[in-house]
Amino acid sequence: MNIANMMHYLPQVEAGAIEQKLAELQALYPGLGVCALLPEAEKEKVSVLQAACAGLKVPLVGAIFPALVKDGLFLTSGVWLLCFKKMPHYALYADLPTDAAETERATEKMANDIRAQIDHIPDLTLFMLFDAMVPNIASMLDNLYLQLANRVHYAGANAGSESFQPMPCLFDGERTVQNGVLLLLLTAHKGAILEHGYHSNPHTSYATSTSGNCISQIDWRPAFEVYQELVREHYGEEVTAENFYQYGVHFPFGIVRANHHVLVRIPVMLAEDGSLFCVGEVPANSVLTLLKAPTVRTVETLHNLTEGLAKLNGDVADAELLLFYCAGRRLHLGIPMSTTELEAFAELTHASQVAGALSLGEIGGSTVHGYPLFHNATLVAARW
Amino acid sequence: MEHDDVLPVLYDLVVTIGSELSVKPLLTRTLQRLLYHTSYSAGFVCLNVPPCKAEDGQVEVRLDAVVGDFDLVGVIGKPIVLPRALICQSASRETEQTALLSALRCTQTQYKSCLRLPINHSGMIVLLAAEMPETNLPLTTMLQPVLAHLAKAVILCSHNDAYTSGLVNQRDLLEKVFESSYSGVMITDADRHIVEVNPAFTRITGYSSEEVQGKDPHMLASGRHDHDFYRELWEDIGNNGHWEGEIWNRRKNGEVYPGWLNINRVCDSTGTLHYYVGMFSDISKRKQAEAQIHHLAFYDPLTELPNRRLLIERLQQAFSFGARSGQHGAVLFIDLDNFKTINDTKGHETGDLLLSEVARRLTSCVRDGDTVARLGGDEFVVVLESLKTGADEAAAQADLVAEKIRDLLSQPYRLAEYVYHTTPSIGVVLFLGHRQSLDDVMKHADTAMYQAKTAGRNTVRFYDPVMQASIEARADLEEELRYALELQQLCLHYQIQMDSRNRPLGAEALLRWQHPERGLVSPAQFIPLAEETGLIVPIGLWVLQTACVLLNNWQGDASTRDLTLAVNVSAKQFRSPDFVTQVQRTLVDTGAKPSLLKLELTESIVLENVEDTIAKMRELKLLGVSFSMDDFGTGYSSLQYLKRLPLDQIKIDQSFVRDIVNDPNDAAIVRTIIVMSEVLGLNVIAEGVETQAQRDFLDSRGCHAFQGYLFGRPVPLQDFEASLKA
Repeated sequence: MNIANMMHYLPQVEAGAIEQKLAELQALYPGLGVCALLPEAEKEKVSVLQAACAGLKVPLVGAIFPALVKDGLFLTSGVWLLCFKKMPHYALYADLPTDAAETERATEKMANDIRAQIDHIPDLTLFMLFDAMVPNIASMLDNLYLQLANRVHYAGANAGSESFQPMPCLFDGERTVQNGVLLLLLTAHKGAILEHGYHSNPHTSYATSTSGNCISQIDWRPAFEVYQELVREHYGEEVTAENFYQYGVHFPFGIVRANHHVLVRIPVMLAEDGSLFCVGEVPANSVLTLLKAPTVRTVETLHNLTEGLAKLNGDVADAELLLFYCAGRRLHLGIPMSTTELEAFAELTHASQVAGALSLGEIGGSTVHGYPLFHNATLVAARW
Repeated sequence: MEHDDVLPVLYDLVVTIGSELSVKPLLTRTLQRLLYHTSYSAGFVCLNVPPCKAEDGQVEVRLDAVVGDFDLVGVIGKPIVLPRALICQSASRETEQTALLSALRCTQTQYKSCLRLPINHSGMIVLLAAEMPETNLPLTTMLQPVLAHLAKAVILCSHNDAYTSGLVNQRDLLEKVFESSYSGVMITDADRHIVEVNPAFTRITGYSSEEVQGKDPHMLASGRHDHDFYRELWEDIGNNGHWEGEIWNRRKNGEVYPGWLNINRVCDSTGTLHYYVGMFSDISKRKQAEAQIHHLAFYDPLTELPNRRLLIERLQQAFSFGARSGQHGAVLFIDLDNFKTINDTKGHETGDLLLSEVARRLTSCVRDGDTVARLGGDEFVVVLESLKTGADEAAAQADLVAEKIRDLLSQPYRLAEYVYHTTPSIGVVLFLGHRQSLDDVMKHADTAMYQAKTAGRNTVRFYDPVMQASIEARADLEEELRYALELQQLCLHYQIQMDSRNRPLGAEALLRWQHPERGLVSPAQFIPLAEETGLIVPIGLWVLQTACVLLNNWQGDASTRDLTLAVNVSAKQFRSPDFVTQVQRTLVDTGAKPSLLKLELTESIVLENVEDTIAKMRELKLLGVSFSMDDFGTGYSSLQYLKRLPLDQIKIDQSFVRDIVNDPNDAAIVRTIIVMSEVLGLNVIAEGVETQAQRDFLDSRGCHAFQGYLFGRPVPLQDFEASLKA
């Protein structure tokens, strides 16, 4: 068995099939470990995975996403078993704090745990799977970067339900937790590349009042009022709390950066007072632009991704690739367009397999050795 | 990028800079945001860069903030030597600088590009990247106003850091004082809920900080201080803002300890109260030391008895007490006979052992309130307080104790495996208030003691010759009383008890002593003597047996068949463990009808041990015997215990009856006793009824049973039976 066979999709989450596959791999790699990706529709099957892995004494971690990505498809059933010949260091943290001081202490502890593992090992990637309901992911990322800097590469995605209802979505061999983060320290790994291709249009509006992941004013007017006008203008529909996410994906916020890149924030929920909540916080008091139905340059996105992957890893043809695709981007582009992007990605990279999930926020840098950022609306790609 | 998009970037940076109060986070956050916006992957800030006169060469700087490079993060705050070309140049965006940037010795990334952003003239921000990030914006000029803003923010934050650091140092100092203070410190809010305590508090009280936070300090109260103490304490604090004093508190383990407490109010500049601060120390050890000093000053180290100084103090107190109460006291001056011989022949150690044993025996002879002191050598003094008001009775009491002492001290002493014999000579003097000076009392006691020695040692002598005579007479009487019973000198007299229709209800049996030479000895004279000597127990049994025989005899006659016989029971008799058995056996032996036997108890008997009394009374009630409470009204007359006692009758004391017609107070007391009896369902009888007016008064108020001279004096049995038939 060569390295190309470490990612396995099983169409049924069934104990026998899982055990059989793991037993095959374990025979070759006694130190075998698994990171499992489950679609939301299979969330009840976590215990099946845990029991199967416990039976074989195979270390298990994993997360639940709205859907899985398999080559050019989005799937709502089955399971991805992303295997390691030797289980890397991992840690599952539940119920993360939101208070700034406690967050700093918690991330310092995480960084110390990681620091204890990294002596003299080159090319490490800190792979992070967050629960999308954690409201201060960007702050945690900033704090981790302050501690670990460029000693590791950063990559990751957000798990959870596409309905944005709280759900235990991260697990290991014994626990299933929420409001947490799963950290994996991947060895001999050069990180991930991230790209969205969203472009802001001229004459943008400004979000003028923000706090944490909440935006209350746009152009000095209540945010929801502006949203109602926009949706009426573009779709002739009335926006409500129920249909908000479907329309919100078309009017995301952008943090403008001096390198022509825009950091996208998709509003996902409407608060009772008319404020809007994004997945992932926005810097306190920052001015955001409102991207009205932004154009998405798919070709540019795919080009940057493949180029970035090549820069990181050399030729990735026949390699197994990991890909997280933003759920908000799929809603904005529509399923046919998104599926086309997936197919094109698989084709352009000549990957033997593309495994991944529909994510609710992504972590990575758009340049090599770049500052790790928390994004929405992106594709994150990495070699497995 | 459109020019419109520049403003949000600048705005974000300005807001970031304006949000920080301290230099370190200011630089770190600004650096983070710069990297965020420019896509450079790492950067560092140097403040206080020395003036660079030349463009080449090197300069020593310190990295004040680093983001994004693991190696540089490791040297934050440490001096580092960098090329002047990197750190002293003006603002620029450069690529292909591998050689220059290699001076940073970064191992994780090989930097080729940098963006230099000077902060004023003495600081520099350097952003680093492996590949120069794209931008078509003039970053160096665009960011110039932001950097000018940052330069001012650095100055303001430095000042704030210095100020905060001063406050922190001050706070740390106060915290150190708080933490290391040997005194316990407790801080409460204005509502007196504990906010903070220090480690000394925990050491002294045993309570941890978590256990007391939010609690009322009253949780430490020992219960030794009353409500007024705390009220006055808080009043003082309210009025003066301060209280200081000794307080007894309780530790977590229940131990009560004395503390010296100082409480202050803490108000703000407007006078609004925010906190109370209590500082206290545990003064148990000080108290113990004081007690030790006191002990050394006032106690004899050999025997642990009070020394002369304390004796004088106690005597003065006894004088004062006597003056107030009218009760006599006595000083017993005790000297051991032939002690010097033992001391000389057997050595001081044996002498000391003997003195210690004497002290122990002396202490066992007296009541708790009395004093036993050692003056020195083999001289001891005993001070007896609260003796009778009458001099003769007091002398008798003192004599009793003196004899007890004489007897006990004359018993053999087993000391260090040898047996020794000694006897005491005891001089006694009575005192009453301050009639005699303290010196005189001591001198007279000493004199009496020498008289005892002169009289042949092992003797008790009173200073007053009259008193000595009285004591001797009393001793004779006691001796004769011992034989009175077997010589059949004791007899019973009977005083009739009548109802309101002048029908006899029964009689009270009263003890009399018909002495062949002294004539009829007053009961007031011999009954206390019998009580003191314990002779009352056999005498009481004889009275009971005689009364029961009579009751049985009366059964044969219609005129006496239903009469009851009241018998007085003394305290010693009642307390004897086999009293119930004695009564039971007597009733069986004599065949007397138990329902006709009425035992009269006094309040003092009952109060001595209420539970034991109730138990015995219940047992006797089961036999059919009835009870009357004698002399009611003279004691506590507590309704509380009266309700619990299985009584049948209350006897109104004659002292109330005497002036019942003229004295409204007595009349009121009697009315109350009668009403109380009715409420409790008890019979009531009045004793000492001597006039028709008294009888009528009592009858009209609800008391329909009488005893007194109006109906008949106590008389011998024959006269009593004759009077019934008359």
